[in-house]
Amino acid sequence: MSAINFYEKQIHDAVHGPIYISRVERDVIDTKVFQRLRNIKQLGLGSLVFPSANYTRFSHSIGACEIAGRIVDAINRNAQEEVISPYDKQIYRLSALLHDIGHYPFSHLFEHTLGDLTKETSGQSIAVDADDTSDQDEPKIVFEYFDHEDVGKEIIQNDAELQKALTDHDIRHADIVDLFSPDKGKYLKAIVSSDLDCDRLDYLMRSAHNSGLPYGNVDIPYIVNNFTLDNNDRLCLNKRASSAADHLLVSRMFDYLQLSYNKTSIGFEVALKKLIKWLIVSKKLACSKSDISSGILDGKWHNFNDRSVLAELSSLKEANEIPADYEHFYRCVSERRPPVLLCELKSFGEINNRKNKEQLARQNTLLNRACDAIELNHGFVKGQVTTWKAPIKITKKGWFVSLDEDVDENEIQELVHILDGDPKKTGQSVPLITIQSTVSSHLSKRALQLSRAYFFPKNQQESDLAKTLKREIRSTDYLLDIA
Amino acid sequence: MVERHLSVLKLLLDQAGVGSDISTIDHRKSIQKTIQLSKSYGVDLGYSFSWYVKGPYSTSLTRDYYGLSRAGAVENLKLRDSAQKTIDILRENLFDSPKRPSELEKPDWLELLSSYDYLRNKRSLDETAIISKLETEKIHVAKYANNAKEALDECDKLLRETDT
Repeated sequence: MSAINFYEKQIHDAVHGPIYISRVERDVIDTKVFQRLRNIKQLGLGSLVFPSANYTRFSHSIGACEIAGRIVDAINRNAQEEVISPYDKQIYRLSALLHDIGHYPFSHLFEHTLGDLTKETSGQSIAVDADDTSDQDEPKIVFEYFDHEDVGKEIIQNDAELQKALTDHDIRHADIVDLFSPDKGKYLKAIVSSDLDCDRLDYLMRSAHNSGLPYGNVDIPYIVNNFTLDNNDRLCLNKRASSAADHLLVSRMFDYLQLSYNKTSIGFEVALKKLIKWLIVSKKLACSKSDISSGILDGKWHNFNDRSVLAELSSLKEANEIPADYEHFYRCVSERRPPVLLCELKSFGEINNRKNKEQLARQNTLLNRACDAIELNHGFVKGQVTTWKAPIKITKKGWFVSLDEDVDENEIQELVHILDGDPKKTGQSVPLITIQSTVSSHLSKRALQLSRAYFFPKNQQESDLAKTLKREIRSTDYLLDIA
Repeated sequence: MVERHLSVLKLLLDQAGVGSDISTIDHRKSIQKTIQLSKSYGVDLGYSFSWYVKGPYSTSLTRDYYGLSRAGAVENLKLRDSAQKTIDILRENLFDSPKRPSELEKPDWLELLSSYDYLRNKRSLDETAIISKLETEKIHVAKYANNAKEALDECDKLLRETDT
């Protein structure tokens, strides 16, 4: 294998400035399967609220590749030797470039719909209500789907054009697959998958740049320059970067709250999720494991994107095939008619505190009942008043990881680690959330719990009810004492 | 009330004799491996597993059992007959199999069974390659690989015969 030139081509990026790429990266970017990412928006329907937040996973993936390369360079520089070879650097950069290759249209929204369907059908195939005596021996078929990482693996293993692009440059595609699902020790998965990976670092910068919201404006170059390895070869940050990392985690919480979980964006997404579920259940879209595998082989996957899903909905609308119970969801998305937020409940507390858990479970149950009551009282169709809930946490896994004893490597490997003390003396790293002087340590077991009720009016007459319904939902017996 | 899916998870774990206690790594490991093995034998709760440090591991299952631990009452459900039969057979002939060497704790036995099954069926490795991988990465259980293979094969045969 000849020496890798990481400066073969230059791309101008709005966030990082000039980005240099190697030949294999250029060839990968030119494949149809990668070009498809131009039609997958990173923030789903976020641009219906933030007009310029319409960047795609195409530019984000190139940005993640750039950050992965900078992380590797920092590790080598801080170690004062080449601990990661040029070939492995190329593997990290390619893995970052390809980390979103398996995303469905509208990214997580679509995938969560598939996940919900799988859970519904698998639950039905295994269990029934205790008093149900019918159908005992006829379990339903489980809807099986790939998550986007598994789709990514399928693509890397089976897309002929991508495989050629890799093998033409002596890249073993198995090395990239390993980083998607690594075997012990060989690669540092945390560079491409952790609380502080190249994906999240680029996401924060790019989202801030495109949305106009300031929450991603943290000192990311400083953080990247301080990546190093501890004496167990774990990816970590020099101690001096702990405040910057702490700031980043806190900023990300606000980013989620104001951008990803923006009340209006989520309203559009709730509507689109219902439409996507209907498309799948009514077999207008084929998304099971076998459908996706064959789509990757025959190239249909290349045209499966945000636009194709919206076009499918549009043609169904023209053919009058969208059921009446879904028309208001369609109009919500296609004509930008945001639903009415009837009620939002917020609570901030310890996730594992029994009293909080019970209170939250009760709150969500009462909100569901209040929505059912409103639907019933006004003769709305099922689903017209819908609840949505989500927790916002400072780290993905920090809230449940056991750190005092029984440390499970599977669970802690995605936490941000900080080199403890002088690296020349100890070389150990500890999770940032165990450092008492950080904000993250005080928030790691807590979450901001959001619960919302949305109303999707079918016509102007129902829209005019918005104010009444807002008052009504708060005065239902269910919410009187908590709203 | 917890979501229906979490109720089904709890029901399955109880039937498998593992329970939903997650207070130690061994408990959590046992849950992961029991659900993976159940999936492999047709009682599929819809989780995807990848190969991690302790063998097959599902991040979404982790999220769910922590969710289960912090939730309120579970829904009043029962397993379908076919699922119950399969789990009973797995419990007797795999999870609590007499083929488990006495010196091997049950969580490690489940890790070995699940790892062997995953490498054979998901990675399509042959017996030599499986043993080689176990010897490299799971030295604490690798020498019992043959016990695991026998238990898995017997269970396979039994389930085919009973046609669940």
